[in-house]
Parts: sequence; structure tokens; C-alpha cells
Amino acid sequence: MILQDSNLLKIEDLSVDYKSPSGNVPALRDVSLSLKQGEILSIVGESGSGKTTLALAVSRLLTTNTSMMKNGKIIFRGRDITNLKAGNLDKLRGTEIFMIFQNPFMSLNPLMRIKDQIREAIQVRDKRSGQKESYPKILNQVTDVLKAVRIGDAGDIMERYPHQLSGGQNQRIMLAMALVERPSLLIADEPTTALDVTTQAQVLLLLKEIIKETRMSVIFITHDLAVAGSISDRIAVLYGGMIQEIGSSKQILYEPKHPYTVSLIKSIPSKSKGEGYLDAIKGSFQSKGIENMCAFYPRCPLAHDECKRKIPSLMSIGKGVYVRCVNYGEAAEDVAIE
Amino acid sequence: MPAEKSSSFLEIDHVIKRFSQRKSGFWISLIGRRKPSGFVSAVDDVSLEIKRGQTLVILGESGSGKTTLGRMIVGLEKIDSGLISLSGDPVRFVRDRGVNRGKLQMVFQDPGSSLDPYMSVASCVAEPISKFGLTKLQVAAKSAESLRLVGLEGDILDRRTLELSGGQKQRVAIARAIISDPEIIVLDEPTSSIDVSIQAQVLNLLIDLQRIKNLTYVLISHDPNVAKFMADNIAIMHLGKVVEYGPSASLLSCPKHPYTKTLLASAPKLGSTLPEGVVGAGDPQSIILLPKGCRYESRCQFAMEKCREKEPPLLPLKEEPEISVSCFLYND
Amino acid sequence: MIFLNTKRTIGSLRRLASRPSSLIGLVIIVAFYGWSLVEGILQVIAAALKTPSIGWALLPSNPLVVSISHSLLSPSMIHLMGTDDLGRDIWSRVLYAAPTDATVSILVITGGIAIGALVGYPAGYFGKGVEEINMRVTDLFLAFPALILALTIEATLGRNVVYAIIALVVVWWPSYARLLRGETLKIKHQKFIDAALLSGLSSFGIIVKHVFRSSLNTLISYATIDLGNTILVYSILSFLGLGVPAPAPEWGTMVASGLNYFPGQWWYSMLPGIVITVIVIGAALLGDGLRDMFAGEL
Repeated sequence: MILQDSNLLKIEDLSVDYKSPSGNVPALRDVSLSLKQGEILSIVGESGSGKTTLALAVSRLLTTNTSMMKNGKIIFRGRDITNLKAGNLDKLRGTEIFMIFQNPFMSLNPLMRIKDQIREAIQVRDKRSGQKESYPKILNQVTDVLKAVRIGDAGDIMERYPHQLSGGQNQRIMLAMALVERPSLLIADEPTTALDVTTQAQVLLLLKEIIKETRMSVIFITHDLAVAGSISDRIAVLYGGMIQEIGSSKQILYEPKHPYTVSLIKSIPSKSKGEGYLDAIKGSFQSKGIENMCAFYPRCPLAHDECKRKIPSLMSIGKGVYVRCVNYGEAAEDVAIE
Repeated sequence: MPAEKSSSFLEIDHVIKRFSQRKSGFWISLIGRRKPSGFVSAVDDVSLEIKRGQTLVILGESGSGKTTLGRMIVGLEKIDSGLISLSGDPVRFVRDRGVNRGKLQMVFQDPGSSLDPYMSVASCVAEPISKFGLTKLQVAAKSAESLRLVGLEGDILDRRTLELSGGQKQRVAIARAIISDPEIIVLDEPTSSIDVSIQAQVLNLLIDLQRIKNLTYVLISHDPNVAKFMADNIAIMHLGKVVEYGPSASLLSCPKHPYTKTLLASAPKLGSTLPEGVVGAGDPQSIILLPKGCRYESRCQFAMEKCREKEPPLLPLKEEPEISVSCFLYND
Repeated sequence: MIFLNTKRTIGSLRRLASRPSSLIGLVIIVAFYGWSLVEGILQVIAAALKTPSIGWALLPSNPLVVSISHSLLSPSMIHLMGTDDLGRDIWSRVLYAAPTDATVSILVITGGIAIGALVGYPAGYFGKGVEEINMRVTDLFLAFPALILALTIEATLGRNVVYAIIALVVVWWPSYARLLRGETLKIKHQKFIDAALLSGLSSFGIIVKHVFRSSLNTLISYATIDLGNTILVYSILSFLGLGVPAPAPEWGTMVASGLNYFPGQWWYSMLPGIVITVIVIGAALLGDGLRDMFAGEL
């Protein structure tokens, strides 16, 4: 399918508030992003950064009794889906836009066997394209897709229920579903955070293969910069509900510009015992008091009065890198994300 | 391993912990492999020792038994076989009368559930010394001191713990752990549930406290970076057994056991891509259906016939005796 | 140990009041127990000073005086709920009887929680043999339908408010045993319990210091709804003739007497019945509101 606009997904000035008894708390502020077909974008952020809100907003899973979308547009395949009605949204989700959560038990039906869940996914997909296949053929497809995600004894796993399998196995099953659906956009919200280190490595490798094969675009949300770096083309660093820096993986990891990104990289333990202290970022994220200034100001080693005056705008500094920091010089231009 | 008993402070001697299995019958019978003997050995014959003032890091994944071992060290789990002793005195189960009060402390992974949400910070921190017979003034003084040491302000004393952030909660948990001047602190993944940027603060704090109070740490983790920063010695655990043990620097720079290699290679590193070759294939070995040979054999790229037959014993290397490995590649 | 911070309490009350149904429940229950407290104190003073008239000082009319000429009057501005067959103002009698139900409900719930705690907490915390024994005994009591059990006990003991309360406590404690055991099961796996063990606290100490407080929210919301239930069951008991003997007014008894005149003089039976209903609903609304408030949804 040839797209009019080369962007698969475009988010414009998205702002979301969380409703709380003591007033609304901004979770996302003026977030703008774009994603091309086949591109992997990681959103890196810690708690309070708004990264999960972003994932939920794009897949339109935010509920109105806890959150409020104040502003912004979400454009998918050239179509504005910001205010799409539930029925049309359902058609979109699961087929074109697919989500994987941190806890696979959230997406898998605990009362259905694995084979039935995958079979259901296949049948839904077939119905869309007008096909109807026989039950044995579908079961073969189920086996094939389970083999593709290297799940071990496919015939055995098929018969089981999700609670009988490990987290790693369940995430593979989610990836199997993604393979069945072949969505254009995959949103993965911390898919490997709850997994063991070795399992995480396997699942990430698998994900990379699947992405290569299906040419899906992926929004990968994580708190782990190293994981983001190992899998993505581009990285966006989120802090205080705003994108603080965005650029290619190489640029973000090797030539970080924003003080938060730099500090984040530095605080990853890399010293040996006896080599002194780690470079910690002082304090912790507080959502209060930073409404009209740079969100990182209270903790920034380079902070000065200019930073308190207003929220710095996201500026292009060339080569596709954008930074939101006033300590970033004259070379920057005020440009909208392209 | 327990050679010079005099220099050891904490000794773990051939310790076994079993959990009985209930009602998983049908799942296991479907596979039809080795019949379950009715229990799972979460910790299967582990021996370790640690000198005073040092940090032992136990690196492992879920199912390795690291948390169970940590709990046994402080007495939260009964020992089925073997002995754990602190300066020669055996560690007893917490619910037994007149026990190692205050000498053994633990910092848990999830700060949210390790502090009673309805208690004030003051009561939380003072709990370990609440049975020491101190006056209110003495307790208050010690609490304030403990909080100061972990970098928290005094005005936090009256707040309920549920109002605190993750990092603050973990600091309170640490303050609670040090207030009784413990001899050993077991820390079970103390930074896994908090942000990376706060993790660095907490690790720095732990290093400081160790120095100031001459603390001995047993730190359980899955993160080699944390191990690198905190450990004097590292023990790698896999399915209830120690598969490799040695000084931190040599173990991390030159891992011997295939599992150790996989573990270290799998940990995401800044700037490197995913390690395709070293990452073991297949799912982790189930702890319920243990093979009679080496437990890592099914995923090991170096597996030999011998590995299926017998379990390799944990033995020191001839050339570097301070390192022990449980693998037929190194010991016959 | 238990935190009663005024600022927080006011904040919670405000949240509770933000939802209309909870607000209604709160008003009903506060009005009922508030009134019962005041009137109850007056009645106690009246008894102590042997001056019965103090007991109806705040009431529109004397609830006990018989006046055949005024019998069975329909509701009006003077007699808000009409009069009964002996010419007594029903609204005054309803108000006069309120403290009885209020007291019964509080005593039954308190007694139920006390025994339920003694059975349920250890069952949940220690498990094994203790749990088996305690819970099977609980099951035994739960096997009997509440009303039948209460009737049997009271019939055996005698017709008296005190015996009615005892009967109801026997019926009521098992559900609290179950509830508290369930809560304990959830709480005992929290790591702060482990931390308390490491601090040398005894099992009893842990239950009192930690388990109790953590179970309090659930207990409060459940008990609040239960207040309504106790009043309902007690009213049924007195309807069946097992409550306070005449001529003292009692809601259940009034409904029973009024049945003789139903449907012609419907107010005699129905209005006291509606009062009971309103309070039970109020308790349920308030209890639901409390539950949601504790869960953070309000």
C-alpha cells in the first residue's frame, strides 16, 4: 500500500491530563512525533514521564474517567483517528494497530487455550479478507506460527492455558499473534521488563526478526536505554510528559545533547567496586511546581535562571535531532517535527 | 569450601530447601518425563562463605533459588538440611523464640509492600528496635540518626509510608534495616523496582553505609552492572545450585560457566546490539522436572554426553583456585 | 497506631460526599445514629431520674399515652405518620424506638467483629490446624439460616432484647471470621510482615500492629452495610414478637400490629416499615461509598 504521506503515524501536539481528586495532573504535554513504515522508535522514560500514557493514547485505550485528552491529533495512515468512534476503533485495533503489554496475562484470555486464542486471531483476520479456511488448516497455521516464535514443543503448548506458561512463553505467544495479524503498527509497552535477563534477550531477538520479516513499524516503550539502543532506529527521551530529545539511536546514545539524557546514561552503573561513586541524578521527579519551566530544572546539573522562565521549545539541531533545552546554543532553530 | 572457619563471618554449609508440590499433577503427567518426587528443591546443596565487611552478590534469574537462599540467611525460611551460621552461631527460624533479633536484616525488592502503608515513617524505621527495651527518647534519637544516614529529612517522620515515592520508600527500608546495627543485611534486588536515575543514588548510599558501619551485604540481583559496582565476590545461581563463584573482577571479565557467559551477554549494554550467538536457545529448564545430569545441559552450546549423565560438582579451578565452577569443561 | 489525622478525615469525607448516593447514605446514617444517641441519652437520664417525661421531651407527642379518641388517624400535619389503634402518634413512637435499633445494631456488629476476629485472624495467619478447626466451626454456624438460628436461640433463652442481641451475635460472627481470615491471607504475604518478623515481633504483635490495620478498610465498609442488615433482622425478630415487649414501641412490633389494619389504615404498618427500609438502604449506600473511597475511586 502506497501512503500519501510517508508517515505511518503522526502525533501532533498531544496533551493528556490525568484526573485526580486534587485537580488535573498533566501526563503528556505537546508531544509531537512521526513514524515511518518499517521504522522502530523507542520511547525511553522513567516513572512519571508519561510513556505509558502515550502508548495508551495512540491505541486510544485511555479511559475518560481517569484521563482527559486536552489537545492534539493522532493521524494513522493519513486518517485522523483522534475522535474515532468505538466501532471503527475496534476494527483498527488488533488488526492495524497491535499492542503488547508488560504483563502478557493482560492480553491473553485466561480461560482459553493457546490454540483457541491464536485460532480466533486467524479467523478474525480471514473474515476481514473474506477468506474462510477449514479447521485443520487453521490449526496448521497455529502450529506454524508457534514454531516461528520458537516456543519449544508447539503441539504441547497449544493445548495449554496462559497461566501454565512462563512470562517469556506468553510474550512469545503475543508475538505469534502479531505475526498472524501483521499489523502496520506494533505498540510494545515494556514488553520485556518483567522477564528474566536471558529470556529478555531471546524475546528481543525474536522481535527484531519478526519486525524485519513483516516490516511493521514499532513504538517500543521502555525505561531501559540499553534495550532501546539495541533494537531501535530512533529514540525519543521522555521526561515530565514532554519529549526532551529525539534522534537516531546512535546519536542519542553516543552524542546525547540534553542534560537529562546525558545524566541518564551516566547513572547506569558502569564502575567497578572501589572506583568511587556513580554519577547519580539528584532528587526525584516531582510533577508539582514545574508547570511553566523546564521539567528537568530542579535536578539539572546545568540549570540556570533562563531555564525557570518558560518551557523550552523542542528545537532542531540538524541531522534529525531535536532537543528541548536552552543550554543548547544558537545553532538550533524553532522547527516543527517533520 | 568451608576451609578457614575462623576468617569466615557468614557460613552457608550444604544448605537445602524444599518446597512441597501440590496438585500440579496433571500438568506434569502430560509431559511424562521424570516423575516428580513430590517436592521442588529451590535451594539444592549450596555452600558459600563471606567475610565480614564484604559484599557477596548472588546473580541469578527467576527460579534460581537466590531469593529463597537470601531468606534462609536471615531466618525467614526454615532450612531443611545443612547449616547457616553467623560467627559460629547458627541462624534460627524467625518464629522460634529468642532469636537473632536485629542482627540479621533484609531490604526487599518492592518498596511498596515492604513498608506497612498505614504506618508512619517513624514507626516503620523504629520497628527493629521496638523490642530492645529502649526509652522513647533513645528510640527517637536512633530513628533520626538512621534517617539522616540515608539522606532523608526529619520532617518525613510523621508521614505515612504510602505517601512516599519509590526511592524514598527504599531509603526508609534501608534506614529500618540499619537501625538495629545488624551484622548482615540481605538485599533482595533492592533497586530493581525503582527508576534507573534513583538506583544510582541508592547504590551510592549502600556503599557509603557499608563503609561507615562496616556492614556485610548479601546482595541478590539479576543485573551484572549492579554486581560490578557492589560486589567483592559473586556467586552465580541456576536452578538451585551455585554454578560459578569467584572474585567480582575476574568473574565478570572472564566468565567460565556457559550459563554465566549467557547471563552476562544477555544483559543489555549501552551501545551494543543483541548478542545473537551466545544467547541460549529454548526455554529455561523447568525446576519441577530436573534432569539427572547438568541442569543447564538443554540450553548449553557446549553440552557433551557426559553432561546428561552426571551433575558436575562445584570445584575450584586448578589455575585459579579462588574461582569455582560447576562444569565438565573445566573439571573432569 | 491508628492514624486519625483530621485533615485527612475531612478530605475523605469530602470525597465521600462528592458522590450523590454516598452522600445520601451518609446523611441517613448520621441522622439515624445521631438522633439515637441524643434520644438514647435522654431515655437513660429519664430512667435514672425516674422522670419518664424527659424521654419524650424532644418528641412531637408522648409516645406512650393512650387516647382512643385519636385512634387510627391518617397522616397529617399534627401526626406526620398518623396514629395507631391506641391513638398514639406513630412518628413519635418511631423516634422513641430508634435508639433500641441503633444500640442493637452496634452491639451485634461489635460482638460479631470481636468473636470473628478471635476466630478469623489466627485462622488466616497461622493456617494449618488452627485454620482448619476455626473455619470448620465457622462453617458449622454458617450452615444454619440466620433467622432460624436467631429464633431458636432466643426462643430458648427467653424473650428479651438482651437475648435477642446474643442470638444475633451468634448468627453474625461467622461472616466476620470469614472476612478477616480472607483479609489476613492477603496481608500475610506482604513483605512488611516479613520485616516485622525480622524485628522480633510475635505473631500476636504482628496481627495487632499490622494485620488489623490493613484489614480495617475492608472491615469498615463491610460492617457499615451490615449495620443495616442487623437492623432488618432485628426488626423481623421483633415483628415475630421476640423483641421488646409492649407497651414500649419497637419498629418491628409496630409493623406487626399494623398488619391488622392493613390496607385500610395502611400508614400504621407501612410507614415504620419504610423507615426501616430507608435506613437499610442508607447503610448500604454508605458502605458502598466507603468501599469505593478506600479503593481510591472516589
